Amino acid sequence: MLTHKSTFLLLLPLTAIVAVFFLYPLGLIVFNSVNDGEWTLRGYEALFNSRLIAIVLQNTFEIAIGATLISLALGYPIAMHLARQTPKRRALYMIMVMLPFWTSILVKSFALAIILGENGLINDFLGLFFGPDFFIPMMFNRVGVFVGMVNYLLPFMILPILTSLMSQDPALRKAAEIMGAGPTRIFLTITLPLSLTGVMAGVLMNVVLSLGMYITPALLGGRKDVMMANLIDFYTRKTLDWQLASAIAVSLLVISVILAAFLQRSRGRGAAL
Amino acid sequence: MTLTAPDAADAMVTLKGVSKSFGTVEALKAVDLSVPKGQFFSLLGPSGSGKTTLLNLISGSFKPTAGRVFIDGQDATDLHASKRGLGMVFQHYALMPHMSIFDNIAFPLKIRKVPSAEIKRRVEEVLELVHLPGVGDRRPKELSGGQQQRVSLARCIVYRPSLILMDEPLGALDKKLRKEMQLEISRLHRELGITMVYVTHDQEEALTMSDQIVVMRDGQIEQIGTAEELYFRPANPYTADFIGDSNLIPGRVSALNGSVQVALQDGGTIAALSEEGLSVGDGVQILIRPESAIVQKADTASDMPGLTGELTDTMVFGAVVKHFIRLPNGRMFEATEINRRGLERLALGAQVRVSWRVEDGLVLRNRV
Ligand SMILES: Nc1ncnc2c1ncn2[C@@H]1O[C@H](COP(=O)(O)OP(=O)(O)OP(=O)(O)O)[C@@H](O)[C@H]1O
Ligand SMILES: [Mg+2]
Repeated sequence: MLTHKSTFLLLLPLTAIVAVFFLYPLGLIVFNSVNDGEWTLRGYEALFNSRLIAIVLQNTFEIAIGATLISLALGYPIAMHLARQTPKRRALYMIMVMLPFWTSILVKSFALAIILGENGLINDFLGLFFGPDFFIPMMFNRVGVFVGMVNYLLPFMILPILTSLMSQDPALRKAAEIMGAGPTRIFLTITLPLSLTGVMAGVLMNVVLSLGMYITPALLGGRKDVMMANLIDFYTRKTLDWQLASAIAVSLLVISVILAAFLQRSRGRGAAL
Repeated sequence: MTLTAPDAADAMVTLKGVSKSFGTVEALKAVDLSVPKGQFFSLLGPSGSGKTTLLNLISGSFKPTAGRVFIDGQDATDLHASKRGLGMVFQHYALMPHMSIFDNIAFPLKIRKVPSAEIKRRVEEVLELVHLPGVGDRRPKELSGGQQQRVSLARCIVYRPSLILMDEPLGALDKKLRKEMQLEISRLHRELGITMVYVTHDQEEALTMSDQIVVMRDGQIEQIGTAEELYFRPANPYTADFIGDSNLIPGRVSALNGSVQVALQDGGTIAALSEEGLSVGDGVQILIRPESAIVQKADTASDMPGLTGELTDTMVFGAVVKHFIRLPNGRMFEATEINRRGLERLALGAQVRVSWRVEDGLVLRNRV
């Protein structure tokens, strides 16, 4: 058993690091957002009145929700396939799922640029059939952003869904089959409803992660794919309007925290089932 | 191609040379079996003997590696599980956790597109039948294990399959509840006349509930028979040992003259009930059930076959008294006596004689 004193000592370094490098800057951002020498709500006023910010916020949600839905559509079948493998095979396939997760997002974004670009792998290949001038724009637009983001988001969708699928008793499906149920009915009335907690967790995690995306839209997106994080960067480094940047950051944080709270709740329910 | 089984008329299930391998494991080895219509038919055997595999081949959850499965006279080998129209009860109930009890029982009826008014009527009717009226709104989690198993029985009965398979349905229940559910299942079997194939590794359960019992071992059938037949006429030492308590004494047939003379490994000769197909020199075991042996003082004069040994223990189990005798070769011999007032007790450690009537010693040939 640890004594109170040793617990305190063991936790001290981490607590100190979190306090200095996370809580302090965070506090500073919150403070900046309401104080530029004097107390003011100018930053939040600008936030609510700016058309640019409204458009970017809408962009951010469109992209986040779009990417999440694509990730769900691709991730669910993958999770189902994984759930049906023997443990040995599943371990192998899991490595393939986790590979993008272990790769730096910067490296991935450049790698995708090589594949998706105007002179990239795909367009070069299509050029063989349709002439050298032919190409499908897949970079510096929403397609590029979605491809990049979904690539990053998929593991966070697949894992919770896989967990909820694997916790289902296989006897349920067997019982349904013997009672005469076909595969569609089994999926709709048993597999899917029993995996909803996992879907819920995956979706929320994807949305929260997407809201804060920065590198992917910056590298693979076009002018119309600016997201909130890019805007914060813009105000801090280009216009030096730190107060507005802080106000945006705080709002983004609040939205993410609310969603994360939902995530926590849906997980809690999942565990109770 | 629809083959029909030769004994189609009165068999609910017929297996012809059915084998099943999982990789290198041979779970079933060319099994032939016929389950008569309306019977309560039990599969009994130790863990890993292939009982569940056999059941899964009937339900259609697996395809056999070889052989054919006939259900109600029709070749069902290639028929998908969902098309066989059977019922199955699982050890861990397999109720849908996200559905109410009502929806669980209504599930097979909805598949069969029964109108909703009739579904309601039939679900209520079947809940009455399993003595659980009024639980329709609850979730499976809110019921006890025994109640959940009743619901899973109800879910089977409600669509009136002509065959119900059960894989150790009472395995997860405590002893008292098991007894209660055994009576319940027997009652439902009698009232509904549904053929039941029942897997258990509890021999008492098999003996009390079944019309016929299949004893399985290593993916093969050792013997098929009624409880009586298995108990009094086991086909081999394995079944004898598996069903009920038994004393097995090894020896070799030395003479056949009305009764069988068996020369024991440790010297001496014992006469036992004659059995067909024996010849002099066969390696055999003599089976003596504990309740047919009597224990007396060693010097008691008797012309019954018997052995002497040391009385090591006497245990009183209420209605019966069990004596444990160590034979000179170190083997233990068990004798059971009905308890009664004033029963004479022999001293522990004393030399005693156990004996039995000639016709209570059954000669079983060793497997070659
Ligand atoms: N899906 C499977 N894959 C590989 N081997 C299997 C599979 N199912 C069963 N076996 C093997 O087949 C043999 C028979 O198994 P089975 O489950 O039929 O036994 P059982 O008689 O039902 O035992 P228990 O009383 O423990 O339930 C065992 O050796 C088992 O390991
Ligand atoms: Mg089994």
